[in-house]
Amino acid sequence: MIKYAANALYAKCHALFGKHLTGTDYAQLLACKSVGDVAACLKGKTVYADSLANIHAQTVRRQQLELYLRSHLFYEFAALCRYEVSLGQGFYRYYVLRGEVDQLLTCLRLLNSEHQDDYLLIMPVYFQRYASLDLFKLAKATDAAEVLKATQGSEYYHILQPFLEKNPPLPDMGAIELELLSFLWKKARGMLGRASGKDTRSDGVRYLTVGADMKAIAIAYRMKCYLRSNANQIRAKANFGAGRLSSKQTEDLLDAPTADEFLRRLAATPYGKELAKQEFLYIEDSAARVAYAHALRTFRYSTNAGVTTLAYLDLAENELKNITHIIEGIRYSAPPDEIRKQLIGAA
Amino acid sequence: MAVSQMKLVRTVGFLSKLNQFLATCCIDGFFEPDNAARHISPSLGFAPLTEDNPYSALIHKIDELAEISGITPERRRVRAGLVPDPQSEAWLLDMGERIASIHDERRDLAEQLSLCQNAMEQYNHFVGLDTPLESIFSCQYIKVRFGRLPKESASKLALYADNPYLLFIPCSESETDEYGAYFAPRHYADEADRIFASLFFERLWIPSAVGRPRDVLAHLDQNISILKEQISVLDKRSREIWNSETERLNAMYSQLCYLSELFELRRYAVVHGDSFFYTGWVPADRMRRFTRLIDGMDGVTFEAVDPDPDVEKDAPVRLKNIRLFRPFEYLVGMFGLPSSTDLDVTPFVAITYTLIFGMMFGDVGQGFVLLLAGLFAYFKMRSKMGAIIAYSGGAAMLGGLVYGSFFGYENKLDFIYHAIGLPEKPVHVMESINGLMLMGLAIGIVMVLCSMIINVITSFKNHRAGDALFGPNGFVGMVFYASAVVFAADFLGAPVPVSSSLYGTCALVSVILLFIHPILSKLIAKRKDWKPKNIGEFLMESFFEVFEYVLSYFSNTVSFLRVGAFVLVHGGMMLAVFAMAKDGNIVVIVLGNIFVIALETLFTSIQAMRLEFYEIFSRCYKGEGRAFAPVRLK
Repeated sequence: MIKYAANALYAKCHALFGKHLTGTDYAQLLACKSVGDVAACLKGKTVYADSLANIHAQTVRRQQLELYLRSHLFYEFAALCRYEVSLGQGFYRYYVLRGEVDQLLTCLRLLNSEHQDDYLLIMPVYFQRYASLDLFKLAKATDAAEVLKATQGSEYYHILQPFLEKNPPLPDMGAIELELLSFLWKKARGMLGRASGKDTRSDGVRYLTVGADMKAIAIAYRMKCYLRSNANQIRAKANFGAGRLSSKQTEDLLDAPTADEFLRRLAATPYGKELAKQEFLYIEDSAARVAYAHALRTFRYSTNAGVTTLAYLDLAENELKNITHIIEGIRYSAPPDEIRKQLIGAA
Repeated sequence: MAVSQMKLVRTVGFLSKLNQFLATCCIDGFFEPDNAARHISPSLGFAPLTEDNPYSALIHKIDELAEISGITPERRRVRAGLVPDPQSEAWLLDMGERIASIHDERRDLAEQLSLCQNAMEQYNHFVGLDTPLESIFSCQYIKVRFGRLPKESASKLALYADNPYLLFIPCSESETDEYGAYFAPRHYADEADRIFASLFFERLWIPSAVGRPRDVLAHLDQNISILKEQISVLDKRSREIWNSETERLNAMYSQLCYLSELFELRRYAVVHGDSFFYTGWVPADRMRRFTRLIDGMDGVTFEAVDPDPDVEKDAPVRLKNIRLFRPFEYLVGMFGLPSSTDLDVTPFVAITYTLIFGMMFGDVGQGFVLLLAGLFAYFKMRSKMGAIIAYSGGAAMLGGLVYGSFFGYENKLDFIYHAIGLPEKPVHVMESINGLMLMGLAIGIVMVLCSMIINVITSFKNHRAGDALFGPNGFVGMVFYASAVVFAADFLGAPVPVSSSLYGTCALVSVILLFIHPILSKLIAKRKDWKPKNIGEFLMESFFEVFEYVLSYFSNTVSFLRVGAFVLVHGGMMLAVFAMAKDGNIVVIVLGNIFVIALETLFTSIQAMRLEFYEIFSRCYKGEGRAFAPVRLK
């Protein structure tokens, strides 16, 4: 039974991926002149047609459209989780945790930039039903203490307490992000540890390390580039322990005197080959492209249903990001070529 | 049994007589006009006739009126020679104005109806609002906005519960949105608009009205009924006007269409001063009638000539076959008609197609069913394929007599063989596999040779002696092919009428001639460029071409093995039917026969057609002719 469910999940993921946007679809989206046109295009012939069936394409707003697309992804993944037996309920829980961490970070970032009112507008109401956080309370929060109070009763309270209980006007986002991502990483490892099947456990951990490494590398580069931080300062903000870089490679990177040297040393790591294939625009972009390439490779060649599902989740998120880039680029009248440069895997 | 000979008719006359000439010669349907400019030297000063059709505007007018009234005008037979008089035109214009005015009035009413329906749709959303609209719109210190809010955003409104300046009244909801109105004090209106805009509130502009929304809806409903009634009255009036003048309108319409078509034929003419020059094609066997029609006409003279060779190949084609073969013109037409200088292969197709079908299908009872079906299709449904099916059915019956098959029963016809002195049926299908395959091959050899003979005749007719003699489908090709067949037969141990040295020599000589046939063809045509420019290239090309010819002989011949194969298929299918019927279950046998008839008819006809079109036609027939398309004015 377990085997059949895993096979079904595996097939389902591949079937869903087959319906993703193609190069032609992206070209059509890039040719759109307004957000309404993008909505009409997505509504017309893509996998999002059902989710967007009831929207009014010509009057829909950018943020509204993005919310609809996000909810589509969420429901699609929730439906997939029904098949996932080998990882148990933990797999579904991990996905929800990712969403919760994302909401917390978004709320805190907006608070830091004194745009806390904007959180209400982008808050995904559909997610409230599944989350352990009270998103409405988060939306009402006007300072750090209220954000902390909104997380009372959840696992995040104790994580955020050291950073928010004194109600700082500008919470340390770097440290908070590090703690929350470490928490997520531990949860992922725990979920994989409980998974049935040694392959699932090891393949899953191997898969997730790349994502963790990319996040850490991006943070480290930024700190090198703009803050000229040293190794200890970077270690306090970036979680290198979760990844597959060896301690020597990590030391090497963190000891780089300049950002350019950091990049040169990065080229010598296992990620160097992948990084060499692309044009460097900015570090987050390169990191995202490496992560995407890894997800795609894993998705195509892995025979493990749980790991394939994780990879599919990242690919679907990537597509959503691409569409968001297109929507925002069109909204702000960027030339299509410029928008295309931001897209990952849209050839 | 040929391509009907065409005569090119060249006519000269006074321009004023052109219409009369066209009306006369286009009545009986044996005249096809041709562009006269192609048949006259430009130096003579004749120029194409460029005129605007004066009748098309009137025809368009009638079509318009008919469309407005929802009626289709009818075309009837007209008396030639009549032209519309000014009174009729004036009457038509007057009628047009009457119908147009009704149409304009109807359009206004339809617009009003549409507005009412839109307003009704809008107000339907706010029917939950139990307050007179005039009191809302007349507020001095409160701003109101009607619109819809996505349900997701509506749930976020709870967070603004503490805001005393915002009030949203939901009126109705759909699957995704809540319709309602929000109210805010005038001084807070901008902020309220901002908040609701960020919640994706979409404002709807509803038409101003008096009363509560449900009262407004009732009033609109009443208006809609009245408007619909008025529109239906106007529609009735428009139809009455049309119906009262139907005869006159249809007559006028028919006349105008006839004159318009006649006018369109004028564009084939060229003119010089007040003279015209016109050309067309007439079948040679209709020339006498044509002459009788035109001879009596003043101011018009003509001559009928055989076309020049370079014009002849573009002449239209009309096949002329005896009644027996005529149904197969449809099959030949599917591939393409022969040009006027080619042979008509219809009789050949008629015989070979029927023969091949009969051999492959081979069952007396099933063939009889096909025969009946074909006759029914031909006489009752007027289907061209009906006759072909009937012939095929007849041939299948003959084939069935040879195989002794009657609805799949292999022994029911034994009494016939005994009656004619034979101990049993001539061919046992499932026991004569090799024989059937050899039969197929033999048919193939004969067919290929026949197609080559046709090609030789056609090539000579088209003054391509080189191809006729030395081409791969010419005389030399035939010799090589025949030599190869004799060699194969000898190799397999069959008795052959010639010695191996003879057929060997023939094969060798013919291969060499094939190899150099481009040079020989050019020499025969007395062309000065017969020498190849590059010997090496020529040798290489010739080698591969000869290789291709040899391969095509082989493949075309072997393709006919399917004739034998399908005999076996048919037999095998009936075996399967009887195996399923076990103890002779009649229902299974009947159903099985029906199934086999349907399937085998389809397969066999497709295969026979394939053999005709590909294996045979590829050697001797191009089908580049164009059909004779005479004009027939009603």
